[in-house]
Amino acid sequence: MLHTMSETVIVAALKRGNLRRAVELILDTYQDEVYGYCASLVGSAESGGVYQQVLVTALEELPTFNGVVSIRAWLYGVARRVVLRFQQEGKASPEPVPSGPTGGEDLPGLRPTDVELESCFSGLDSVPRELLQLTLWHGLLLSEAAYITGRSLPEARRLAAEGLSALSGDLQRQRGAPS
Amino acid sequence: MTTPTPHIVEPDEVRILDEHGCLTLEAMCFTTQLQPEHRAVVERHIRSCAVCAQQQMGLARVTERVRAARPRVPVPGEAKALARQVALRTLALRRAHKSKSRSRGDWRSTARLRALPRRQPWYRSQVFWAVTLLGLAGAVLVAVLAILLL
Repeated sequence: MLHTMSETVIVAALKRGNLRRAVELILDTYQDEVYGYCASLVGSAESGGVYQQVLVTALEELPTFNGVVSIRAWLYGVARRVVLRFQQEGKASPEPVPSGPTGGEDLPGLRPTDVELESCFSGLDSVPRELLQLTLWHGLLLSEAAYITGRSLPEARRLAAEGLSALSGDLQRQRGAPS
Repeated sequence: MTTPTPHIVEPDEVRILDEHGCLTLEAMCFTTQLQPEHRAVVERHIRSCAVCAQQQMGLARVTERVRAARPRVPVPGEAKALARQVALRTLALRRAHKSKSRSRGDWRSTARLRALPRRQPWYRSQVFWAVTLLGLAGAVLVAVLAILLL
């Protein structure tokens, strides 16, 4: 509800051509969660720089925002692209899915606290895992997660459902396995 | 720019029931995000099929467990302030650059509009040169005649 209200105000500012106001509202509303998203993908050491790059890229692209998705989902999309570029500059990875923090960093607050779930979750394929993270951790709609990852809605739904089912099966197996 | 919609409007080709008449996995997960008519079918089926109801409950439990394990990332205050500063400075720079290029653009566009032959200065006109040449020729003629008469 709060997001919807902010979206309306931001879009109104953009329509009036008041880019500064729109940027201030975007920062006030989405700064923490987009920063958190970047940190969850690149780790806390790099998150500051990457987040600044996300902001600069978003500012460049904001006038061309066409309203196909919410500003929030659009920002996540920009962040994901910047993170991918950042990761590809560091290592030549053909896989178009941002990987998690590298180097086995110990990042307080970045890891799930549920150890059993964490091991099953990290065993998932990267695409379903990313879709589940976007929808269940970041509270995005499945259609928005599909947009961010560049997939069709039916495909994203199928992959996320398969991921969730696989996760459920793995958790059951872990529970049934002798310790 | 158009008004944003809360989610992408896209034909939702979700298959609700499988060949056995039970709910598909896609229909069981993310049911709340299905279109109302699809959601109604799922809810009706769940009321009559214990197997699907149980499976959906299991998936819902896992969904909640994943949701609860969401990592919380503390955002350092200085990082926030710095990012805000960078964003506003970029915006100011962009605006300055835009106004500069706009003024350059205006000049260019007016020059394009003035692509018609421009008025030449008076000393470059053909009439000026014709009069000057005639004057010189007259002066030469007068000088020659004066020499001959003297």
